[in-house]
Amino acid sequence: MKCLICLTDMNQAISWQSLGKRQRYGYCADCEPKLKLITGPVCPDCGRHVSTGAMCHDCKERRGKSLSYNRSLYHYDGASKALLTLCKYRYHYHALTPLKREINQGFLQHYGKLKQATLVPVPVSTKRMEERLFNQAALIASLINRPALSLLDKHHTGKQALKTRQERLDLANPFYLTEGKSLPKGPIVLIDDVYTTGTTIHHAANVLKTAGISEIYSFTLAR
Amino acid sequence: MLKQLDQSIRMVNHYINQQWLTVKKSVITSSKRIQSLTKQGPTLVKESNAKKSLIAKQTDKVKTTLKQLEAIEDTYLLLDGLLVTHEQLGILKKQRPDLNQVIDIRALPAITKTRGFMQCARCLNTDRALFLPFPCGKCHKTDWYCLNCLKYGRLASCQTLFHLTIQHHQTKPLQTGFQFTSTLTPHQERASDQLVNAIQTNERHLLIHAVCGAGKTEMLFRGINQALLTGKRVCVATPRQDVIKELLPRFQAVFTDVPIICQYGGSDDNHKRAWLTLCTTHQLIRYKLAFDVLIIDEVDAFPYHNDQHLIKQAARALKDTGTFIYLSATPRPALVKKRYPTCFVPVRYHGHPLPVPRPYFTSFKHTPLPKNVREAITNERENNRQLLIFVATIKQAEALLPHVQAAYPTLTIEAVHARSEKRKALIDEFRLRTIDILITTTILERGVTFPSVDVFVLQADHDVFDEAALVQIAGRAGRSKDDPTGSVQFYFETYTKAIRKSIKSINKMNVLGERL
Ligand SMILES: [Zn+2]
Ligand SMILES: [Zn+2]
Ligand SMILES: [Zn+2]
Ligand SMILES: [Zn+2]
Repeated sequence: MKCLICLTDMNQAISWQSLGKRQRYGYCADCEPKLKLITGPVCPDCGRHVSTGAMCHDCKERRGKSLSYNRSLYHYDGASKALLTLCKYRYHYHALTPLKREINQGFLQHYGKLKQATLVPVPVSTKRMEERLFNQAALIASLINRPALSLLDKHHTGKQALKTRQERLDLANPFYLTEGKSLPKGPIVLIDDVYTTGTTIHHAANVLKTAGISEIYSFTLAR
Repeated sequence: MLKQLDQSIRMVNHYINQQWLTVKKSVITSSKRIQSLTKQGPTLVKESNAKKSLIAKQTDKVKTTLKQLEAIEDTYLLLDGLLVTHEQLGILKKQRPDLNQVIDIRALPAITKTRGFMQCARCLNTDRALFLPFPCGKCHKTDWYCLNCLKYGRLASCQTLFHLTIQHHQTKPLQTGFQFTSTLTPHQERASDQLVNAIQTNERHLLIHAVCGAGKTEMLFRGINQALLTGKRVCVATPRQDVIKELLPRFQAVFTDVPIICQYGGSDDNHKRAWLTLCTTHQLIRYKLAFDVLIIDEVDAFPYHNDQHLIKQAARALKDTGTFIYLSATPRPALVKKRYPTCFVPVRYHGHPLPVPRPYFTSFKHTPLPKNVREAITNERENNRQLLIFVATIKQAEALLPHVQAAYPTLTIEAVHARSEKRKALIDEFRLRTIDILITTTILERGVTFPSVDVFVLQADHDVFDEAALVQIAGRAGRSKDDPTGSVQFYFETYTKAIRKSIKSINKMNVLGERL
């Protein structure tokens, strides 16, 4: 196995335990990203770390919520940013694959009780898909052991990362329901790579709510 | 899809050819007209002002067409021989809307799959472990992408790699502003002549086998000048960034009229091209059929000898008619076996023999700084040279530093390795002699020159010290004319084949040098 970041060979210790479940993808000790899990009290709505556990300012301001709440796994800091850049902008599909176990555990911790939940990855536009050839949200959803369904599509709006906060808030809802898909019965958990202002996820939730879904949650890799 | 692309490319080619011809024709006709007009000029101008303005108009026209020609020249420099991904091509097209009209774009499938074997078209990697599968969202099947060259832009199996070429380029002589006055030693002279000759006669390969400190760079200048004068594009590739940065000012001082670019991972020049390119061997991955002369420094060095793909990439970067020049102090047997025309320079530029390493059996079991090493350091301190201590690993360097510092509290002692943040600053300080003893890993094994140092290698029996590495390390001593000797000492627990062979080869060089 080679390190996914620096490509050095990693000699895996072969033991009886490891024989059956040898991993194909991993980071070497030097490249292992120093991701920080979000622990302790969080804002009940957006899942951001808040020491008092009270609702944060942004969430108080928000009107017309379709989303029940969001939960995220890691702090959005240098390490997680670098890893997501590698995945989203350098198009390294497997950059996040070694985190499968942690992502699953994190998901179960927050949404383990939703036994019938369906994952809906936040979509990317066709233009973005042509460049990237994959949707990073769908990739994250594929790492979670729950059924995923792509229910949404997106108009092309340009690079999110390059826009100011106000510009992003101003944008009209770029999402719409994919034609010819029947809606699942149970609750829906929206999946995305990162929750920054929350605009993207709330837009997506609004579309699903209008379509008649009653319970909508979201789970992102970073917050 | 590919067929369509091919067809459109062919059409574009046709269009370019015609464009080129019309531009050329119009330049010729308008310059002829100007000539005729100016001949009649003196008499005519007095008679009619209209004629005068006509001349001016014609001159303008010639100027603009000349500009167009220059632009083609620029484009040639900028784009000829470049390999780009779909995305990079898109960016180029945005910068230059006329791109399709000036260049020939060839599409190559990014990853070829034949009977289960995969090969990446850009890095030429065939290692199955470096191709990762993923569900492609565009073609809805399993695609593969190459991990080996991901940092140059992802290539997936359903994508294409584009090779940009300009066919209708006419080579023209270049003003080089050649400023090279230093006199060469007879050995350097011979090598320099052989190089000039190889370039003139378009020889395919030439190996220059020159000892450490033979003055390799000086031998190159005349050959490179010869190439540039005849409109050839030259690339000097070396394995290490530090070396490139050292070479740049030297080249700029010699080729005063030639723009030189310097390419390495993270340099600003990566998007530029010029007649003379200095780059790391890794950067050759960007090119196909781009250079007329490719000089590869330290052919034996890591990473070149370690990575078969780098050799293939280098071969690809050279034009079919181009000349390969290999430089090495310790050519690997595989290269020697190829029996390329070889030029041998066994004597240093100052004419003194190479310092021969002295081997010492020493146990490192109990301490990283054994007693006899400490005594040797104390002894060598008297000769006023600085000391370079080579160790095998970063860990070892960090472990040794406090011991040496404790033993010599009055001296400035530092350790440097690939991961130290102040790497460049420490090397500069050592060069300025503000550091007395520098502990280093193999990063200072080659390329860098310090005028007056002694060299110790601790645990010389470690795997990283192969024959070539030890010869190179020994070659750090006695580099200057003012202090052509220096003490080289190897300390080890087992007398390895590498140690034996390195000493033997240095002795052999000295014998050969004496005979000449
Ligand atoms: Zn690594
Ligand atoms: Zn909140
Ligand atoms: Zn590749
Ligand atoms: Zn595809």
